[in-house]
Amino acid sequence: MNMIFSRKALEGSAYAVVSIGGLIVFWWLAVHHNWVSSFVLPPPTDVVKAILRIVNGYMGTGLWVHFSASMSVVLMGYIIAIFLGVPLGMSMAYLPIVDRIFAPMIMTLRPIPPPAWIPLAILWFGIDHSSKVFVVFVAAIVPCLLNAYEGVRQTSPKLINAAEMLGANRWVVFSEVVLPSALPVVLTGIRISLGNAWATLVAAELVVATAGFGFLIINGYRNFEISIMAAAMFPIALIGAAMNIGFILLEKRLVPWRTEQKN
Amino acid sequence: MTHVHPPGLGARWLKALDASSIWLSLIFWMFLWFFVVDIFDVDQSLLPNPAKVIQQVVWLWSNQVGAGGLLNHISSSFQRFLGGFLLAAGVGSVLGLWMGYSRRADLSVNPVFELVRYVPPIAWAPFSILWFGASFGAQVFVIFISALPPILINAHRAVRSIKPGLINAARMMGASPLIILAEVSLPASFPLLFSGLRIGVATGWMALVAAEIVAGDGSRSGLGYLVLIGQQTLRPETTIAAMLVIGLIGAAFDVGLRYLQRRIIRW
Repeated sequence: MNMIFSRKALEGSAYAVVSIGGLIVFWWLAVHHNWVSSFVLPPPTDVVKAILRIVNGYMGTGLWVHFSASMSVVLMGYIIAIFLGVPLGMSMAYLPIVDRIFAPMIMTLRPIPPPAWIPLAILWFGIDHSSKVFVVFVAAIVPCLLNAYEGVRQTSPKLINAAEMLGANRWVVFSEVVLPSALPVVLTGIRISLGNAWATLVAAELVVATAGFGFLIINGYRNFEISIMAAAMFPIALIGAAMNIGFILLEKRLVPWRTEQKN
Repeated sequence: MTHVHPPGLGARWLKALDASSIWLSLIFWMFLWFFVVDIFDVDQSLLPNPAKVIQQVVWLWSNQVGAGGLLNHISSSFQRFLGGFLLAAGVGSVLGLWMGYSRRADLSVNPVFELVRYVPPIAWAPFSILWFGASFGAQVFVIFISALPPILINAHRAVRSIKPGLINAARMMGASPLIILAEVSLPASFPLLFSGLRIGVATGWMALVAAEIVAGDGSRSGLGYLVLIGQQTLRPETTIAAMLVIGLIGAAFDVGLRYLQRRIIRW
């Protein structure tokens, strides 16, 4: 069994190496033979050089400056979204009056794509960090809130009834029955929020920023440094992937009772 | 839960109350917005009151901003959206179905897909402006990139979800591969395929607005352009009016597609 599995994995990685390697070779050939001008598509070697340039300090600021600029904004907006979104979603599921007041407003605002808030955020908060924090917040709060709501709603009434019959009061039912049963769904929402927050941060940095990875892309565009543009996409993807995978591992740790759900 | 009452007078009353509570809540928030602006004397260049925003929608309809009136902006946004979405729907469903059928295709396309999956679609915007120009091609490309994953993943899943028993049964009754594809595989995979397309519409519409904003005021048309130009000319009523229209169209897409889904897929 184990051997079959490892053979399968080996075959998969062989395919991966061939397909990604083939793509890179094709990319290199395309630029090398001038099928595409290196002005619009830098050769892979230039991109690697540009990554090193960013790491070693592009335009006088090191990688760390861009990393911390992007990270601080994303985390701030994200944490505010969690602390507002999860309790609001839970109380909407629990208290009909809260639901009645907030649900129509949230459903009205929800179809507006978060990036559409960028210009308004600039008007309201200026061009410093706080406008980006706001846009990230808008993007991140929706999945938090909806999943907190869904999670509480999905709690099996049988469990609640059983607990009530055993004499548990409202608070005990909430903390001992509803919360554990809702937590997996809530955590999934929080994870989706993180992805949204990161994507929206990049959008916001493309529009208004003086540091950060999105800024690197748009600055490369403005200075016609195509290799810098391409290079900046790598840390963005890496951080996005690391956050998602890290969160999945964390979920497994935090809620071992979580039933597998497709995602 | 087992006993279903026919909707009597009481139920109808409750339903009416339910519907009216939505309007009540919306009216409450509108008034709150109105009075907050009024009482705190909020600067009109920061937040106009809701009446002004509604007025601005009407004003935009008949007056020219950038390339034309509101209808003009809506139609150019719509054309970009349609271009990118149709491209993603075509490529995504074909590639996804193929990956579902052939293990080799799956193994070779998947790594590339995983590689670019974590790049937020909007990060491609500057590249696509460079490659395809700021006014049409850039948005089409970004919409394509962002609508492709949900369509592809669901097409792939759709093929995988077909029960082998169904195909075997058809084969046993002598159906040719083409008949199996048309009569068994496609109907069986259609529901998942369709929900992929629906998600693709939502992500594509979102990407469009982002791409139009990143493309800047160079394109002079589109709803995202209106959002941006409202900020640049310190007219938040234009920005909010355009956001309202964007949200309404997005919601209309979703409602329409859900309705279609229920109508088409009755099995």
